[in-house]
Amino acid sequence: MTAGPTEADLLQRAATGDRAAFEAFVRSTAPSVWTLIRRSTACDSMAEEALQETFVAAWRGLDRYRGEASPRAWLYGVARNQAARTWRRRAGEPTFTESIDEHLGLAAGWGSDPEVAASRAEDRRHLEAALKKLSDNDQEILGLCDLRGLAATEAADILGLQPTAARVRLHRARLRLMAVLRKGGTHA
Amino acid sequence: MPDDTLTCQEVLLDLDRYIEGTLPPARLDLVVAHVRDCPRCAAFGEAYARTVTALRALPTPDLPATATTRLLERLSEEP
Repeated sequence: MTAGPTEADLLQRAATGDRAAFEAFVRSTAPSVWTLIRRSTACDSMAEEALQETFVAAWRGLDRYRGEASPRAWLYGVARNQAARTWRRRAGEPTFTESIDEHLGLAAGWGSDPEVAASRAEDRRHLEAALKKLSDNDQEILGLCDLRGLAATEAADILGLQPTAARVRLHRARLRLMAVLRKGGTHA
Repeated sequence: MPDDTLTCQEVLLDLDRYIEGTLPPARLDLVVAHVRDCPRCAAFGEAYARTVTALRALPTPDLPATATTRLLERLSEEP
């Protein structure tokens, strides 16, 4: 039994224009690139956009791969750059807010029944369904901070926002998520 | 009713930094004092924290097969 070509072999062949080699490289690495990107956003469409931009940039930049880093290390660097570009492009203009809208808190159960939202959040099906109902911007900030674990200040750098704007966006997104959960019933 | 210098609205604004432990100490003291005496904010703060904890525990979904197909189609358009 012979081992197949390594990812480094595939990249070298791709650099000479071998599309089949690049396709094999894509099939081998796309799942892990997806995981890297998808941890940064709760939004599938944004993650897929960043995934596509990553491999298009990799294809266009094959001549810049020198083999000093492993193929995956190089590819993950490309993915991080492309994901950051995608988030920035989608983020739009930063919006400063002086205060959180009290109605947002009330919709989330502030002062009435916050337990409902929390209980549904602890059911993975409800939580995933509720996330999908949020805007792309809300999914993005929750993905960066709560799914990937970045601080709001780090997310602000990625999104090109002021730290306070990122913090407010995150807090509001969580409140909107709680509101969706609270309203959602058994099929949020 | 809580008898301190923060309103419920002000505590709501600070909930994120409260659960993340990033409030400045003086502000933290005020929020803690308020939450201790205000069942409404205590209950909401707990629910907020539980929601964030649940979010952080979500696994990353797998790459959909259709996304791979679309990616390869997109790459086939590249010169």
